[in-house]
Amino acid sequence: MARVEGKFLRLAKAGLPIKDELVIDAHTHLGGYFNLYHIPFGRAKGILEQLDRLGIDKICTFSFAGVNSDFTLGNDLVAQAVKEYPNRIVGYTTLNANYPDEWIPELERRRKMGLKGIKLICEYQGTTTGRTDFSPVYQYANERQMIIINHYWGSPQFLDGLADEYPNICFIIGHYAIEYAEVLHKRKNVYQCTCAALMYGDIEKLLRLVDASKVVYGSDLTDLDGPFGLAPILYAKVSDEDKRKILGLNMQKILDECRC
Amino acid sequence: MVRFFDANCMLGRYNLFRSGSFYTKERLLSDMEYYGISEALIFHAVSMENSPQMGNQLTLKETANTKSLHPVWTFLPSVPNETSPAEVMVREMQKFNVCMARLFPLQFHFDLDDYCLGEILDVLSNHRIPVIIDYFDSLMPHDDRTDWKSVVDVCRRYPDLPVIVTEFRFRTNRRLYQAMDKCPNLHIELSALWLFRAVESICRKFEAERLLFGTRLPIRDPSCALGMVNYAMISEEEKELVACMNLRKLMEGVRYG
Repeated sequence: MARVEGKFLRLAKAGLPIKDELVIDAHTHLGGYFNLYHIPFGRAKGILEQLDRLGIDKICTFSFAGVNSDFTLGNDLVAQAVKEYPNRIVGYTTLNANYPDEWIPELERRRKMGLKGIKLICEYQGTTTGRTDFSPVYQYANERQMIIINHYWGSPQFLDGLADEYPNICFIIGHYAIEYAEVLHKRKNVYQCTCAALMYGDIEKLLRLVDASKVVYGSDLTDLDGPFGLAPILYAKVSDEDKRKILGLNMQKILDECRC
Repeated sequence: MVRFFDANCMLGRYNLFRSGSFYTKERLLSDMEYYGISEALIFHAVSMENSPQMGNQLTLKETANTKSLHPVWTFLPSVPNETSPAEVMVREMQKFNVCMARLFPLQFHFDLDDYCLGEILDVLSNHRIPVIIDYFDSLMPHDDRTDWKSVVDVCRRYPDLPVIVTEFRFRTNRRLYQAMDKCPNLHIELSALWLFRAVESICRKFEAERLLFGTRLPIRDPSCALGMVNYAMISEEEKELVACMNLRKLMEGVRYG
């Protein structure tokens, strides 16, 4: 792959914010608290400071509390953040796999508050997506052309089946992986997030298997540091055109197509 | 532009090699140029995975006649026919101008207690040779396996010994903060410190002098650590310290005389 020293690489080396480009982080957390570690600067102010420092226009976000604590508390925090920063924060509703009776009422309540997507993260809730019957959620999301980002979808075959059965849902693979390359080729409604592409050459490896138009940038901030997720794309030995798609154009297209 | 001195680079064939990565000096030098890293501390993979005795010699071979690459030697609790006594190793280090030591407690299954490492740490401390304690374990990639209690014990037993800890703070920082608070001689290398605004947080809670830039090339993508320093909301002077000056100062503090 050619080494292209373009605009994004120059900005990264100089530590300058990205300007005059659309940058949307497709995978972020808010809430400021998590049991596993202390989150410094974890409130909205601290997040926005970093977004401005990096040149990120918007984040798609879900809560920490939703991961492994009271998901409704977490969704409250997200709804509040969307209300305060509607131009910077796209909110997602996190569901807990162990509360099936509350899924649809919670989605309905949050949709009315402007939350556009759904976050699943069953591995932190003692189960897996494959073992959980989320069919009411899929039906709800399919009728409304919603986005579902999942920490882990399980086998490529499982995700392929869902993408086929629910063609109006935009399925986002929440963390960096290359095992879904065939599904990404085959299904228009499946996208790969770059979140935690931390091993040597991960981005280049992914783009050898998957078209850049199917990849969206995600950092996991405020779980992980923003530049930790952004820099692998800025420094990657791929074209600026591909970087542009990954950094924001693809996610904007997804959001434009989301009816919710 | 900030100058970067990488505290955590490896050369040589390693066990879990991933396609697309590399293990040769030529590729490392080419990548250092691409990423804007001007110097690097090097250990050979054999010194982490098989034998420090053989690995240290290979480290010297890889770094010889290359000004931008500096050797690090790995120590094991000494056992006849496997490793030389610490004093002998340090005399050899002086001969080859090696100014940093490294320990892999998980890879080689030893702990940091006095009965195990006292002889080595006595010698390193006497010479002010900084020691990197590396909790890398190639088969356990995600958890924090750092034995913070032992690290704190070492720092307290040897207050003049610069101690640098690396690896697996991915999902924890509470013990890290407490350890840094209690031990002024404890430093942290950045290649696995990935938490939100961690560089700024540590610079504010403690000092920029406590952080060292490192990438863990060629296993990890160097851009992660580069981005965390380049985009950290700290002063240019602090960036310079984290990126290269802290490491250089520690190496210059070695007393071989």
